[in-house]
Amino acid sequence: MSMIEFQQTSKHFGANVVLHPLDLAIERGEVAVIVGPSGSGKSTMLRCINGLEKISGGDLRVDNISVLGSARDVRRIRLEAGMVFQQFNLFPNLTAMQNVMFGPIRARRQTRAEAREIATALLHKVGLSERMHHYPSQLSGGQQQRVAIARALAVQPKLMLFDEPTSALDPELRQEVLKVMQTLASEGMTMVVVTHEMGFAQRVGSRLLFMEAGRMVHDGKPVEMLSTPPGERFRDFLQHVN
Amino acid sequence: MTFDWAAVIAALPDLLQGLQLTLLIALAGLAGGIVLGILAGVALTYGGRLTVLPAQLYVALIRGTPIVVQVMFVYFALPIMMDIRISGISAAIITLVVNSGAYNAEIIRGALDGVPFGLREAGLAMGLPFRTVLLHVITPIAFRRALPAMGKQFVNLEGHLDLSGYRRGRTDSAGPGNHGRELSGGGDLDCGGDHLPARDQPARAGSASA
Repeated sequence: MSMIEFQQTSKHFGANVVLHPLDLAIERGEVAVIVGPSGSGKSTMLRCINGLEKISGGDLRVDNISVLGSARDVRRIRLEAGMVFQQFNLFPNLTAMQNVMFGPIRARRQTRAEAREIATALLHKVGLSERMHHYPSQLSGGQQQRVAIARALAVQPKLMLFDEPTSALDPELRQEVLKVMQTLASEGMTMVVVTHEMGFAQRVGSRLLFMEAGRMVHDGKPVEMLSTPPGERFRDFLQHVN
Repeated sequence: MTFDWAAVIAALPDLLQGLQLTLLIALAGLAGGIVLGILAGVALTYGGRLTVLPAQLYVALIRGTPIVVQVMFVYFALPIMMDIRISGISAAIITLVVNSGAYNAEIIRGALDGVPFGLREAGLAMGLPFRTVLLHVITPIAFRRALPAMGKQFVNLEGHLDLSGYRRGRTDSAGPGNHGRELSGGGDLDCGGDHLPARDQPARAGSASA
């Protein structure tokens, strides 16, 4: 069964249609990279997956749990779907270590000792062992985003959602974040990544989706789509990104 | 005119008793005001229409009327309307709780509103229920933001303690007797600082010792 299933899923804010009815399945282990011009509905689509946006029509199932279910169902989905935000959204009053320990303690109800063990291992994994007792304000953007990735992983999700994780970063800081994401992908994590990083899409993505004006216009293998762009609009888009 | 130190010393026990009363009223008013302020502040920030409207009404009404009117209402009008007896001290405490609660509510609403929305989403995205996010993500940050304004609100509250003194003036001529007397300890103690001209104090202290 698919990890994520959009079934005629639609979303509108008032009269403004952000997502036209969409059918799409994302399988376990897939790294789906979603690209498209701003305002095309990429972020909204991503936020529908973990219920941060309520869908307006159709159904959307994550690991066979519907986002239309009870508040508890939605929380179960969120436990399974870690999210990384464009603006990091780290808790500014907690150190890197405490940020990562927060999920295990509060969401998974693990002991502080267990949480510390998980957090230490994850901060090591994202290359921040040296900085675990720093506050977010004492870290660079790239470091903050890596802490945010560790924080999301600490809840032991089955899939990860990335909402433009590198858009707020300097070009040289992007690479350290992309490297962590690449490692994650190579370990078989299911990932949905909204980004403008075409290089990442080509290197790491197993699937490339192009959205425009609330519709999923193209869906294919990244290498093929980038070498022979399937449509004029997509070709235009590539020229503007690169 | 010489200053009568003996009168001051003789009055000290009375003054200390008054201080006790002052502290009781102040601390009770502070604690109750914080609880009420948190409830109303959270309702203002996150409530649905059913909770926002009463909270807005409460805050507007209390902040829009003088505290003297409020204490008169609690002490004179409320007992008649509801057919109950309210002691002077209770009336003072109730008024301070209700009054400072309204001001605290606005402070707390501002502090909660000031916490970046992304932090709330980050908490929710981990699968936490909103109350956990409110308690463990938003509150620690909002608390720091609220602290300076809350400190000032407490000073305000302390300054309002003299309102029990207004009642004394009333009760002497018209009032429910004993309560007025009882209160004058707390009321006068603070009135001395805020309302009465300073030169009156020695004379009053003298008459107390006489």
